[in-house]
Amino acid sequence: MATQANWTEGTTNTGATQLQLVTFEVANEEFAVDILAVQEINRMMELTRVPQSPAEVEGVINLRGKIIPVIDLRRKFGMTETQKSDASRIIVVEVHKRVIGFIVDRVHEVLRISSDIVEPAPAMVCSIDSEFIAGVGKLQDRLIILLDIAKLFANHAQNDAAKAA
Amino acid sequence: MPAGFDQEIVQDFLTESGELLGLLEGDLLVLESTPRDPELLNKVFRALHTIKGSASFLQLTNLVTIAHAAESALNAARNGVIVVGPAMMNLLLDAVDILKTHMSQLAAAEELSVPRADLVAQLAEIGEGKSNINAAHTAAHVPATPTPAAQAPQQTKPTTPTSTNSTSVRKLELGPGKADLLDYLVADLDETMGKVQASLDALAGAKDVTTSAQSLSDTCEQLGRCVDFFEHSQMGQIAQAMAKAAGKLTTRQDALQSVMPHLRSLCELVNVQALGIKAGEVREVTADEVLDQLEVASTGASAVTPAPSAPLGEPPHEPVHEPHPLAQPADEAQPQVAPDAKTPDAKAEKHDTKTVENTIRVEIGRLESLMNLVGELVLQKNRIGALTRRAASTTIADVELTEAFTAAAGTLDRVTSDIQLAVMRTRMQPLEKLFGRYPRLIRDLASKTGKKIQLIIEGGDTEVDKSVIEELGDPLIHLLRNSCDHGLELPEDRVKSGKPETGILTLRASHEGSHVRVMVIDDGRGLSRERICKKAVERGLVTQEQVAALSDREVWSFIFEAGFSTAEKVSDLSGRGVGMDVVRTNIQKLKGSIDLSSEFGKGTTISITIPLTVAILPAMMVGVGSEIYALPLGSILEIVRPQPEQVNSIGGHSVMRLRDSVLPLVDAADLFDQPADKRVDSLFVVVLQQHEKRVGLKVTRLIGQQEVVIKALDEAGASSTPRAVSGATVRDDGGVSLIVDVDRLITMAEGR
Repeated sequence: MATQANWTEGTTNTGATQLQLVTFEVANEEFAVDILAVQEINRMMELTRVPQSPAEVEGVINLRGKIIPVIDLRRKFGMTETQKSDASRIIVVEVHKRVIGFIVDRVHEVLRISSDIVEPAPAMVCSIDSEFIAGVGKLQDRLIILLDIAKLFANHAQNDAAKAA
Repeated sequence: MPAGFDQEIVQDFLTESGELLGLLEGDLLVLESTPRDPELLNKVFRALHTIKGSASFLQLTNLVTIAHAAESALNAARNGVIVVGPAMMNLLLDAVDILKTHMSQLAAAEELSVPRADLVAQLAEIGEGKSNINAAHTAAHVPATPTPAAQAPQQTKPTTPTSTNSTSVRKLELGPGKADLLDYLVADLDETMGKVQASLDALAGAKDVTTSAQSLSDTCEQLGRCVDFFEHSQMGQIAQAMAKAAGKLTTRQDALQSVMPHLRSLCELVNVQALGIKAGEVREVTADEVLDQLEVASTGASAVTPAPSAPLGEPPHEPVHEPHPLAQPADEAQPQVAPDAKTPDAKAEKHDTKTVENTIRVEIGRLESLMNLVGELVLQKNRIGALTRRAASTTIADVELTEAFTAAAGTLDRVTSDIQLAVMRTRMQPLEKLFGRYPRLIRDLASKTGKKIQLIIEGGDTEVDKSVIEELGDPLIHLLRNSCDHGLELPEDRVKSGKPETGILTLRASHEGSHVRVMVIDDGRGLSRERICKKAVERGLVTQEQVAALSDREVWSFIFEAGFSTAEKVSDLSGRGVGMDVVRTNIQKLKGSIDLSSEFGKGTTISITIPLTVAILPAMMVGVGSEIYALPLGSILEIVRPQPEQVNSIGGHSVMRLRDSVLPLVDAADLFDQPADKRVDSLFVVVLQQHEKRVGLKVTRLIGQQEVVIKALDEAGASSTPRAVSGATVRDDGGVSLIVDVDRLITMAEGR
């Protein structure tokens, strides 16, 4: 499972191992990202809209003096938009040396699962593009979609690289 | 590309050697005017040697070849075999150019080019003393300056003559492996001796004896290691004794006093020997007595029982005079050496303390993140200040507590301001870094144009932000070239107009409040009003009738127009009419301004004023609907609240009559695609100007003036759609505001 190996990079030494994930909810579906990619989780704060930016970019925030973009996952996945609630959170991750925030409906928990129970993404698992899915964790009572944030924010990172070049 | 070497090592080499090379070039040019300054010769030689040393470690054979050739030529100069004349200087500068090329090739991971064989051969010939380059000079000077004498003025310790009194001399012979390194280690020895001297002095005068004693002990040990190399047993013995005694030093005043003089005398002796080694001799000195005394004093002093001076039969203050028998002859012999022997000596010592590493390299990214954090700290500080004020105003306030709060908040305020300043200062660098490149440029220009030019640099220690230095480089080159090419006249023309042959070009930097002023001043022919006006009329910038009414200043401003040149012929250097407009654009990018004054026949002065840092921008914060944007204050002409009848529509575009002119109007809400539900009527018009073009921006409210810190807008997947935003900033309240790009805004307004 190449995708998965890639995805768990840094988490494990070798072989079947424990994955440590942060799980969260977007539009009643449960997602997870590798905990090592997560820098911090913040409450919703005031965002500054950036004119003429891609639709999924909700705006920018001030993260201790650094201005970082924040992406609305609902919009990115093409889901219906709702009002942000008290439970909404901004998860700040580092992808390709860039810090990006994304908005989720709520954050659930930090979860340890064995990599054995993660399977590659089926073609149609949910409403989102399977390209962004690193795998699906099958827990006893539920399914967790493991996101490949490197791919999820690939276009943003590439854009940055292009700018740098 | 050196295979198998850590990229990091190569990188370090590039940074370090690049810097050395820069200094080297500057020093060489100074050397040209003072070709026999031994200190400078040594400095240049050492720099070259260090580069060669590191390069050979990295197996950069081609680089080593040329460096070695140049080094040996310089060595000949150091030994007084040859005097560095213009011809030799050209060779050396060529060698430096090749080294520079090598550096960039290395940086680009390319194969290093093979240095020009003729150059290498010529330099090597000089090194072997065979070359007859600047033959005239050499013949005149060699007899007058035999080898040891050439070195003497720089290193004349008062003790030199002593050596002849009490030393036996034989020739210094080292194995072939070491002979190669000799020069390098002599330099090293020099430096170490300087350090030992400095430590001794510090110990003699310092109150903090413990640290000084420690540092003396360290430097003495270093000296021991250093001396080892020369296989000079007696010298090694002395150095060891010194290190040993220094290691035993205690802080007790009497003990110190009994040991110190002996250490000083030994230090003098080692100096004598060091001088001998420089002259290729091994000098044996009478040291046993002093060594014994030191041994006794040192053991006694470190013993627990006090008054060790008794067995010596000397009161503690007596040993202070101890070194005098040694120093005395030196004083007597003083007239024999150069009368200013003491001055270079003091200089050398000062120089040595300077070479002790007191800087570290820090990645710029780390400083930037520190800056960010400090910015955040300032915000939090402001918030605390606000909260304190609120607490004070509530009725239930505990007076004592509030006062304590206020005091604490005040202190916090001061400390954070200091931190902010300190962090900003870490990014500051002296303009020297930039100015150092120009003497070479001017030298080349002068020889190309056949003019005689003296470049005077003033205020190189003026510090500005690193980014400013980078951006200032090119404009200054343009200006200096212009002055050399157009401003300064040929020597014969200068003489005709009653000026000295050599034209003077001054580059002067100075602080002016929160700005830095850099001036380029030449005493050349000055600008011709007539010619500029003629050209301006030709190009249709102005009509013949208007010309007469123009002030000088207005006339000079024409030369900043794109494509404007009064040069009759286009030269390799300038005259194509690109240049001054590029200079102006670059300076404006730095939020600076450029000003020119000139007197026909007398010269031209161009002065550039730039802010100390580009990271901070004075801005006007304006509200657009519920959003807040920052407008660069420098672009704002005025702010008006137009009457409805002033606003019209022409061809679907809104315009405003402002006094005599008609101003295109742009609604900020449109410009920034504000959603309809957030819009509020915009009542104010901010008149913005850039490059003589004006536009009115409609905004909802005015918030106030603020100094904002410019931050890159790191925005995911920024679309290619152009937009009038140049960056972002964090407001007092912690929120983010976008900074309006006025240039782009005007372009967009024109485009509709």
